[in-house]
Amino acid sequence: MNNYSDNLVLSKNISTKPSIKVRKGRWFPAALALPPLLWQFMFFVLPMFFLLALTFWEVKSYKPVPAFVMDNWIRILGSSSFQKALAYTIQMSTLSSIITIIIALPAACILAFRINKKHQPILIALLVVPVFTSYVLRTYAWQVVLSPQGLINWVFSHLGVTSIDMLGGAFALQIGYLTLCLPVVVLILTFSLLGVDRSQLEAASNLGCRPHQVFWHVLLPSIRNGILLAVTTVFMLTFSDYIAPLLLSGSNPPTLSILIVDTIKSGAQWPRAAVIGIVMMLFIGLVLWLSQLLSSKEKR
Amino acid sequence: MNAALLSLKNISMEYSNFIAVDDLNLDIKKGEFISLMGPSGCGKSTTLRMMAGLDNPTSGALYLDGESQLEVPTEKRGMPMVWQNFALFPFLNVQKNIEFPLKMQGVPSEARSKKAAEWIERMGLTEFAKRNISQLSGGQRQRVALARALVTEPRILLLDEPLSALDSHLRIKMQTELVRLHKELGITFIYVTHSQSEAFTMSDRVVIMNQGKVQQIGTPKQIYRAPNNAFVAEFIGMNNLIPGAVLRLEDKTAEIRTDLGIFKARSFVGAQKDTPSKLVIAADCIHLDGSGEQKISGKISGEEFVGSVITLFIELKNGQEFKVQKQQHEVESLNLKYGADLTLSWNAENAFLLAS
Repeated sequence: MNNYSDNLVLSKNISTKPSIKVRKGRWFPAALALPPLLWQFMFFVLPMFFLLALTFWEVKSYKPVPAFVMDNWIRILGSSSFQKALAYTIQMSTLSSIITIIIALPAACILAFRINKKHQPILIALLVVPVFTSYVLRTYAWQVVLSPQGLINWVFSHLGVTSIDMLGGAFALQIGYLTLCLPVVVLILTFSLLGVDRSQLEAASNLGCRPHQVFWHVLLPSIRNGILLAVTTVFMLTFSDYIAPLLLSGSNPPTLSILIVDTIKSGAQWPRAAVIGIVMMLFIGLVLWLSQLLSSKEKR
Repeated sequence: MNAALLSLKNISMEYSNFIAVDDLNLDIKKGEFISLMGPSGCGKSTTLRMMAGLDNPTSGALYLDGESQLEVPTEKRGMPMVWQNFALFPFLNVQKNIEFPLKMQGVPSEARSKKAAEWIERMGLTEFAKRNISQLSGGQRQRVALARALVTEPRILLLDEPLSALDSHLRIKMQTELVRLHKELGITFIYVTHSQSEAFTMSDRVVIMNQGKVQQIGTPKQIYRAPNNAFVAEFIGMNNLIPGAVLRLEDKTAEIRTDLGIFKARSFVGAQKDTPSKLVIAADCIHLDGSGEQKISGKISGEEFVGSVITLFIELKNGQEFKVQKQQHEVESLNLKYGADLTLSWNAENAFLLAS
């Protein structure tokens, strides 16, 4: 048609057209994002505010009534049973993070590096399948195995060893936490190891690294973010887990999740339970923030 | 043993379904710049990896200064390699990357940073010493990779297509830098590439490989002017090959019968009457003015212009394509046209026969 190049007005008109198109396109992704946003607002943000408000309420004749008192915060934060439970839960979650990583890392290394590429998907699938079965069921199974009349003690009795009660303590709790976290952590670490550039590992040994030096000086730093992700995942999952403490360790000593249930059961103390809930969330937030701080920001 | 620094004896690398390197023999002299060149999958990289100890040959022997190396693990061989993707550690900065091999050797930190600083300066990386690898350009990464490999003062440096990740302008610049570095250090460079221009501009000797076998070892000029066999003649590009059979043998020359006529050329050792062979004429030995004694005719079918040199593509009567390389001004003065008939000619002493 016309010669556009020497017509300034026309060329301007042309240039505005695509931008209209872009603006037109913008509402569509926004519309797609709206339902989950609404959902999150309705069932996460609003309840959060409610939970926070609840911590200032009073309980009158076994019913929480709106009020604005600091009593719940003072009672809970000051109570030695809460402090003990908090310390115990942090301790158990931290321990679980360490144990899980130590057990998962060699398994992940074998999955990522030693296994024939053909068999890799099958083995990874085998790792995922247990996650499909109920966590409660798996934990119950451990109760059967660990109990005084359980599988292990049955074997012990036949070997002439006196039976040990393994339920109701940190050992059983850690077993429960492992049941929950191990498959996930092996997966996280495997994929993080698969992302490591092989030539970097070869370069390391080519530059004089003995195998253990390759592991400490190249492999571990390379999967640093993966390890941090695994640690935070274990911490978050175990910190608020109720099943393993309930079925395997009991309330002696209680974890925070057990304490929440106990608090509600003993006199419908919803506001005090809410205080514990808020403190737990703050802690998980703190752990996430710490891991963010520690993760390496460099881009590949 | 002879004066070879690194000796490969009957090295083979067999996988279940193919042979990557087949009975390879190679002596590498102290201080030389040697290139392994060939098409992809010819076994050149595998050969380099076996020297470094990253792969172990299925049979054969490898000697460094007469000492067998195959039992020596890669970390103790002291033959650092520069990788195609540089394989720098992204979690360490430039200086730490360069210090890395020294740290692994247990060099105290003070000596380490002093040594690294020397190399940082030598490679012109002073202002980047504390930067992350991700903040560097391709050329800077290349220099870090070189510094990291050379900081331990090895006797042999292995380079696995180190320039292929760079753009062409930078590649030429790095070529001169590599040559300068090689001269200054006086150590042996073993360089793997698929690029003829890289191999020919930098190397003292070039090893041409194909299908796991050495095709020819020689100086760039030897390989260019006197290819050993038809593969080399074809692979190094600017040669024209006409298949035929030996018709008549004289002392050092022979006549070959092809479907384009009978031509005279230099013969090869072991040539016999009626043996199938190929006539080879280098593209830059062909005249367009008909002044050569051997003549052939064809039509101009295309041209490739790369600055001062021009390559003409001539379609011969039998459909075969001939390449002619000429100075651009020379072609211009002839005033040629596409599709025009043209007589190509060359002198018999510039043509030779190869067994096929």
